[in-house]
Amino acid sequence: MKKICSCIFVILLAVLSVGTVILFPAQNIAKTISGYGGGIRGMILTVMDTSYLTNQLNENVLAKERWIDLFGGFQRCIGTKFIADAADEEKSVCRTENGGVSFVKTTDSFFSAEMVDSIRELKAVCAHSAIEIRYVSIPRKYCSADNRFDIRGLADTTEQIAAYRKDIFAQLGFGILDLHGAMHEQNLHHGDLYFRTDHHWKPSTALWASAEVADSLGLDTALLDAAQYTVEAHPGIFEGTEGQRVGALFCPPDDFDIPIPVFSTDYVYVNSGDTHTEGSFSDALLFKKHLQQRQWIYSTFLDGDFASAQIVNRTNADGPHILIFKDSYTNSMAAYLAAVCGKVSLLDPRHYEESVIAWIEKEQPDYVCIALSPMTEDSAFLFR
Amino acid sequence: MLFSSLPFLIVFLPVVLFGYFVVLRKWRVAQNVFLLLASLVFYAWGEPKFVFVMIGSILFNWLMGLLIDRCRDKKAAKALVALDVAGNLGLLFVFKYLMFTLNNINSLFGTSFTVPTITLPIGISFFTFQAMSYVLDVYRGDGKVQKNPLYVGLYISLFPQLIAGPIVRYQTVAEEIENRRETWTDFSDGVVRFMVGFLKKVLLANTMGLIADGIFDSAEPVSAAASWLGLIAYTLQIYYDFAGYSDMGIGLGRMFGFHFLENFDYPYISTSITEFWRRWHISLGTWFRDYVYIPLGGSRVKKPRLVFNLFVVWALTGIWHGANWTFVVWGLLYFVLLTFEKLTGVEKKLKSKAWLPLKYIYTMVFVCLGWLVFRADSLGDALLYFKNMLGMGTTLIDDTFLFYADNYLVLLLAAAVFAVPIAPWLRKKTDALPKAPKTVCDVLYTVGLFGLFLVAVSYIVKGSYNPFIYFNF
Repeated sequence: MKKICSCIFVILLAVLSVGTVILFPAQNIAKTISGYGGGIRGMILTVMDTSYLTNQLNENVLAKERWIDLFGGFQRCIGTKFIADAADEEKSVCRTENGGVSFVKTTDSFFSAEMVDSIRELKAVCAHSAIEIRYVSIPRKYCSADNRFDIRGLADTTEQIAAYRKDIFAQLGFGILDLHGAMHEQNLHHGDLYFRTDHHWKPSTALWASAEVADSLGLDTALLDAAQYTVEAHPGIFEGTEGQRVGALFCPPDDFDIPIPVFSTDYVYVNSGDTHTEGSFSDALLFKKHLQQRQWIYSTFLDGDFASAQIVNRTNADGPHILIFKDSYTNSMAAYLAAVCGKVSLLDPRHYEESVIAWIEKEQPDYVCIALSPMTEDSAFLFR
Repeated sequence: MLFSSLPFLIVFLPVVLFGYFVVLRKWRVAQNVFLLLASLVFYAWGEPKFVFVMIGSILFNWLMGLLIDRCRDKKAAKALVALDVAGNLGLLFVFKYLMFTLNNINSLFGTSFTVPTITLPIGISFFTFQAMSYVLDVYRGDGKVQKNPLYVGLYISLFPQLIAGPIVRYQTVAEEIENRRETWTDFSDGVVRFMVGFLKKVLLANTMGLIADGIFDSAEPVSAAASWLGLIAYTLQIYYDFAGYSDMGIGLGRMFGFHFLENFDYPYISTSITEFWRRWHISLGTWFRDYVYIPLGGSRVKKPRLVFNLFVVWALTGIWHGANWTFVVWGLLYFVLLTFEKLTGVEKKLKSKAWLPLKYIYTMVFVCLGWLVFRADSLGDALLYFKNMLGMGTTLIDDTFLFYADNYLVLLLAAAVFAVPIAPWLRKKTDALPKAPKTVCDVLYTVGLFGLFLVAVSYIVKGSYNPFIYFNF
């Protein structure tokens, strides 16, 4: 038996070794060699850069996803619920009560005096131009009331962060839209509203959230009723950010069902990545290449995160202009909100480097919403 | 480079196996040179600069061996041995103990000597002791002098035991360097041993390390239950990490026809501290016994001298593990216990089976307390942790305990169970079975071992927690 074992061992090493070498992205190595000056010197320096080579090997091992599936399947068998991330504590993942997986937030939020002043200035600028400004508290998948971690003794700071930030904005005189509270009031269960394998909300939840935002701004929400949409189903294709870390055997992929308006739509979408699309909701605002490639599927909405983006609704040219300071949650929400607006502008404070104050003074939107989730770092709240 | 890493599994080991067994299979000299070069690459992967320190050590010790062999005249040979030991220990002192020494001098005497920042080359304690073993064995006539520096280099730097032991004595492998036979049986035994060691390290040691580090390094005070759990986890981590690495090293050596001695023999079933040190890190214990304790006179001396000999050995054993007072205290703890056992003869006097539970508890309590001191960053931290364990100023149970116990229960239990010789017991039982059921058991064992090995590889691919705890050595 030991001899059979050793034969299989040698074959396994050979397959892994040869397979990885064959599939190795040689262009990455070539790029590194030329980065080191090319030629023999470049090759020697690349070989001596053992951390780089180790990284490349770790990223490109043969059948990496299947190995992660095996890892996740074993964790499931032995009852592990929390899977630590060796490189980044905040990328550790835990099972939730609804059978999904979620990042665990362990840090607190703290707004420096500079941040508070910048928020105050933002409000003053809006008030000066009679622009209504609102803080939208984006809820997370974890909820201590109805979607806790499926393990004893694990704390998450998301709700404290959300409460802290709401308090700050309330003290500064902002109108608050608390979507977390709204979910509870309407008896909506967190576990049903979010993907199992990803921290984002489902497109249907984004549609609901867009109706809540529109309602709070006093806009007509008729076009944001679920009855106005059919569902384009993509079953079992979405292995989200958390899911990719634990594999399909630990948490099976989600369906990615997209509500599509049944009413006529005509949008123009541009972003700071030089994207320009026009047409219906599906043609202009959905980037289905992500569905076809089965990568970055959540970026189907608006092609993901950009420093700035804008959706113009050509069927509602006189509709209101809303500016949203956003993170990735708003990508899907904004796509639906555009139905009741003339224009939806998006600035991602994590990436936008120019003055947002100058932008507001120039563009004069009708409404400004700050819609940043508790997962987003405090530094995004420094508005220049 | 670590054994439990993708570069080793996917690149290094396949290339070395292919080069050794396919390309160079009929050419022993080339095989040895190839193994030497591979070992240097193995070391240089993580320590590109310090590979020259190791090469320097190899050349120095090779030269000393030659000179000692030439000067068989007692005085000159003795002086050369002293020079060799001083040279090796000097190297170790500079890289490992200089900063510690200067810091303590500055603290004690209020001086302000500049303390340089010196990085410790990984495995320096291991390869320095192996190098000294070569010279001392040549001096004693326990091993023939090796005129070929490449073979001395091969002995000192052979990658299976280079960075984490076992400390291989020159006399063990002297003959095998030039005259070994690689057999299919040895290769298979080596593969299975490597896989078992890999499982110990990746599945058990790393998981126990997650628990221990999470509790020991917690920013908040933890409960008594959590403190006990952390210490038990560390006790298991250090065993499986060391024993796993030794298994992998022994297994890899066996694949290439080298037969290293065993390094761990289920130390956690010991019923005395004396027995514990016959089962734990055997290669280190026997090294100090043969090269320090016995030359000092061993046990065949009067009691005061015996106590002195034990003090020297255990102070050195402690300090060998790292440049911190915690390691010295850890070593001296064993000095006290072993002196007690030797002077009272308690191991021989309490032979009745009725004493076994008490003896076992006594042994494990002190072993665990020793690990507490060993793990702590300072003696003050160790004392604080010990107070936590007694429930002083803390709660009995908390979320930390519940979290780790809930999440890692299966692997905790597996680690505890396999720390006792249940696997050899099962092997014995199945070997006694008739042919058909024995074959079924063998198949199940092979499938199980391979399945778990694949799981362990998946841990590495996932990039899960994989600490290297020998950075002090």
